[in-house]
Amino acid sequence: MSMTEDQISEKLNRGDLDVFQYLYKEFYPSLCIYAKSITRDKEIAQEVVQDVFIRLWEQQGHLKEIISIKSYLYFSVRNHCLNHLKHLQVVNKFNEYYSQKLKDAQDYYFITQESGESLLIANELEEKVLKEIESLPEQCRKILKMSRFEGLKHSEIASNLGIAISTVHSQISIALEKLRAACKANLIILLLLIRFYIY
Amino acid sequence: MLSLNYKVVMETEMLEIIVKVLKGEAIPEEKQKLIKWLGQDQHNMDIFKQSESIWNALEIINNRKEFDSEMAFNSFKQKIDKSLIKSGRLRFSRTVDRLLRIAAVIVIVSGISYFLLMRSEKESFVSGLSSSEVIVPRGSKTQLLLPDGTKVWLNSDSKINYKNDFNTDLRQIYLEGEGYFEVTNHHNKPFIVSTSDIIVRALGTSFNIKSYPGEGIIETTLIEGKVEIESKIPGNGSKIVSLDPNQKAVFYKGIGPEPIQNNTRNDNKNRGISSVNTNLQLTVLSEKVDAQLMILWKNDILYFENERFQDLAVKLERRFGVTLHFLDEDIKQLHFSGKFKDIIIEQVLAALQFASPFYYTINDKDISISNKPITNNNLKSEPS
Repeated sequence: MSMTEDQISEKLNRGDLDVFQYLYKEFYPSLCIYAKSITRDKEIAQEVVQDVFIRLWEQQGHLKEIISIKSYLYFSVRNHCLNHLKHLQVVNKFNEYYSQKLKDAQDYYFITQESGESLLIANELEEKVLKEIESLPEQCRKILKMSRFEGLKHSEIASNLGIAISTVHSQISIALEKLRAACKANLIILLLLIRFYIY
Repeated sequence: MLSLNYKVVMETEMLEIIVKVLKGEAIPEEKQKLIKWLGQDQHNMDIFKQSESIWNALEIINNRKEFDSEMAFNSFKQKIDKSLIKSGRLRFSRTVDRLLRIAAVIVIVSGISYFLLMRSEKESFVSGLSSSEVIVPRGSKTQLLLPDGTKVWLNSDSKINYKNDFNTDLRQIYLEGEGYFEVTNHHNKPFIVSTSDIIVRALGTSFNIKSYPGEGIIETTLIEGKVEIESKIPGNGSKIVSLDPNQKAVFYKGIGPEPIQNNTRNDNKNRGISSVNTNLQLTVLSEKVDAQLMILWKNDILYFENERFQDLAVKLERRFGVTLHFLDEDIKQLHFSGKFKDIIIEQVLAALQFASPFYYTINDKDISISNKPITNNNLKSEPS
């Protein structure tokens, strides 16, 4: 099932549940991952994404034209995450854990200039990236998988494999660079498309 | 050559820093370095963004199973059900509100009957009669059964009034505002609706009459059966006209600022001004109308077709019990079509904004409309 932006807008304004089912199927996991990358917390990420959907539902009939539902969802999730972190920081004023989380998130967005663009397009890259991983040199692939798929810290990978941590860093950066080169054409097109939608 | 080598070394170091930042393992000095590097060249920023996309794509590949969209959707539905119950409570309070309004109507009815009764105690020596009145305030609507079994729906800001000998020899009521009548058939007792300027006579029929004091015309639309319409004023307007189903009669009062233009704009434009008797105040439009559209209001449906905002505003004011203030003249000339059911004024305005951009603010019952942002301009639908 696929819907045009117009159909989605219209259905959202009618409070049609089918459109929500569609949006959940299409975007829920990646929105959660996005939220998790900001909040660095799985539970909070899920809460935030759920909130965004509920808010969207509550606004039925009030929604102005949404040019891209995807951008709308991603930006809403991002803003909710940052608000949520700020809220947590206020509530737990003296809780260093949350203060640090917010600081990390803000740092990250300072660095990336808060564009969110690259996160928007990650979704479209899955298949291509999955294919390209298999053509990486073996050690490269292994270390990358340990870092990204098993969630191991780089120091843990180093001690597991009995190699220097600097090797882990360099292997992963090589893997990333190779994947980037392989996906470059897609990336450029996707970035252009996203900019077209957002601006 | 040397500088190229240097650049390659630099890139490798930066790539490692990028990985650390993405992984969340970078130290502050490395973050600073990355920020500086990103600021040097748009190309660097592109490299970073592309790397970040790949990084996130890997995360999505890995975590897709971790986030179960089906489960999340089910819990979303449950939460919505709860909020539906909440809004059900809202609806309940709306019902209470409606009951209160009906109660208000009844109070007004009994109050006036009482008043009339009091008054008619004196009058009754003369006429021996008292009368009943039903007043529907703005923002409300009511349905009632007359003593003869005739059903009447009264639109907002309307009233009917009938003597208590109604249904003895003839059935006569007085209407101000808009009403839809489903008249029960009594062969020997014609049903007569009297308005400010015209009289509508019926047997067993359904028809709608719109006769608001502030408006320049009175419209009578026949849904089924047959009615006869007669001007109250003797003279050239007193000729009797009769209507067939889906026909509409218009009476021009000849008062108010260009009432004909204002109120029959649609008729003029869409159906031509041609009528059976153009020289008369009371005319039957030659083109048939969709009578069902004229009585949608009784089912709580707000319907308008290619209507000027200025005219639509009057409908909205009655329907929702609000007052619209146009801060810019040109906005009054916007044209809208629409059909709404079970809505609140905010939803109507939001929908109209879809069609033509304007701004509005709501302050209790007062709504200001402008073509420029008003303070506290409504930004509800922006992502927050």
